[in-house]
Amino acid sequence: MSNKSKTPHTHREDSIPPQTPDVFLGNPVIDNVMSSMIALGSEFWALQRRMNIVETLLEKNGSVTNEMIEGYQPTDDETSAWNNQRDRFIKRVYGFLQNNNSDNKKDS
Amino acid sequence: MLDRRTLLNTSAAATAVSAVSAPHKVTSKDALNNLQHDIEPRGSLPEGRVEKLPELDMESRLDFAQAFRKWSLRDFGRNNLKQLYGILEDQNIDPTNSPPIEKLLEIIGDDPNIYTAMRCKTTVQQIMWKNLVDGFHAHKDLYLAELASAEGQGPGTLELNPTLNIPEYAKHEIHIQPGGYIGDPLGGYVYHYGVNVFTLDLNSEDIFHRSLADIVPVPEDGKMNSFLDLGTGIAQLPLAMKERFPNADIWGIDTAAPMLRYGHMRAVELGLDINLCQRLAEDTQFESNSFDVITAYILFHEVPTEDTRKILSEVKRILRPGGVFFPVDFKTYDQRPPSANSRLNQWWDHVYNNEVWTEEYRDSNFSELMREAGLIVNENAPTLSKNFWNSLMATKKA
Repeated sequence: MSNKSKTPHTHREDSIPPQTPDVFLGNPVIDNVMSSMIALGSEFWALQRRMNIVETLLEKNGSVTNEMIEGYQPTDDETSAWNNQRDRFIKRVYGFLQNNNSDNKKDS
Repeated sequence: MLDRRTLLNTSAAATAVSAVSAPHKVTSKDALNNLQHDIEPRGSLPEGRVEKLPELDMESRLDFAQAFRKWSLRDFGRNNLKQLYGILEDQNIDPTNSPPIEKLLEIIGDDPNIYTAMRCKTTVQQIMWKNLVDGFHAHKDLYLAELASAEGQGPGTLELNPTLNIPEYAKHEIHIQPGGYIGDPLGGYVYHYGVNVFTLDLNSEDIFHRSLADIVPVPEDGKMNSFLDLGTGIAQLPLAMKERFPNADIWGIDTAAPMLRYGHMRAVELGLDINLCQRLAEDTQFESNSFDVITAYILFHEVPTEDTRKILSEVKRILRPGGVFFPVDFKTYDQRPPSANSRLNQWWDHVYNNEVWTEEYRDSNFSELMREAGLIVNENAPTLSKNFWNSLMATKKA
């Protein structure tokens, strides 16, 4: 059907990045602050999840190593509980953004 | 936005599509055992089809990104939908039938709630990509060695073309993925995990592509020995098609070497014999009448209409008489006029998620473009969601 080459090279060229600055809130500093706030939530959740694993391992084994933490596979029950914990965290922290500040307020 | 239950709710027409040979499903037992130089520091996901991310924190950040995106689309999204529709109704505008985007933006003005929601959607994309790019590149040498190792192995083949003239449209950083599909050697890894966040877990373990492969229509004569996927990316559809049609000759082409290398590596890991080539969909280099079935999954909304015409002409050439062309993509505006909410989301996607040609695609009449290319169009093709996908297929006169 075709010639098959075994050329081992990867063709690479520069990509074309987006051309539109992503400013939504009228002032790039405010946009940046908000992005930092969301990024902090991401870092917080990474720490919280790590702490959940450490606590679980300590309870099960009495000791932990970094290898045990990195390799830990949560049970289905733990996954479900941690997902709920994560979703509650997001609603608790970011739910403030749902306050309606518009001049055209259409509250639920 | 994407709804997993809706997408996986296969239509009656879809379920009527029959396989021509007994399917071979990869199991965790035979998956991920074939690669000689396998980088798998934290094992694989439960089905054994996809490796876990190399670091726990990387996995946790991705977990947050997916949940935050879900919250911003659903909880926060509901508030904003009410806000948007209220503003339009105050001006006696039917929100289920959007005015042109320029008019819609004028009406919205600088509404802080609507634009805060856009900020959230954009930032979570940026956080997600940065996490993946930084994480994979922290182990760059190992992952490049893994890709290089797979290139020397089968099953399946990989054909790269370092001198291929990459079209301009393929160079853009679609979905604001840093480096896009062509500029980051680890782009395949980054894409696979990143798109899973965007689709709210549909990409994990190839769930979506396996469902899609199950409904790919076969020619009326039942003959399905050769299959080609255009713009195949990381080759998830060819992999799933090989599982459905284990005896068929399965091919995928794309312009992006990083994506194809990753796709080939997964084929080796999964033990699935597929052939991947770095070629242009406009100039596939295959002989005329080569394929029984050709697919293109979400390719055409990434391509300018001018190039779409060239691709469709090439499809007509390489599809065998009686063969099936199945181009799965979003509904165009002629198929379903957008609500104000859809129009605004699609505008965001176009401008801020760098879907460069999606508006041009949605403004086109894709059925007519296929007819212009000489194909016979069927507008009631199998689909995983009649509300979301275009439900189009075409055949070449037998």
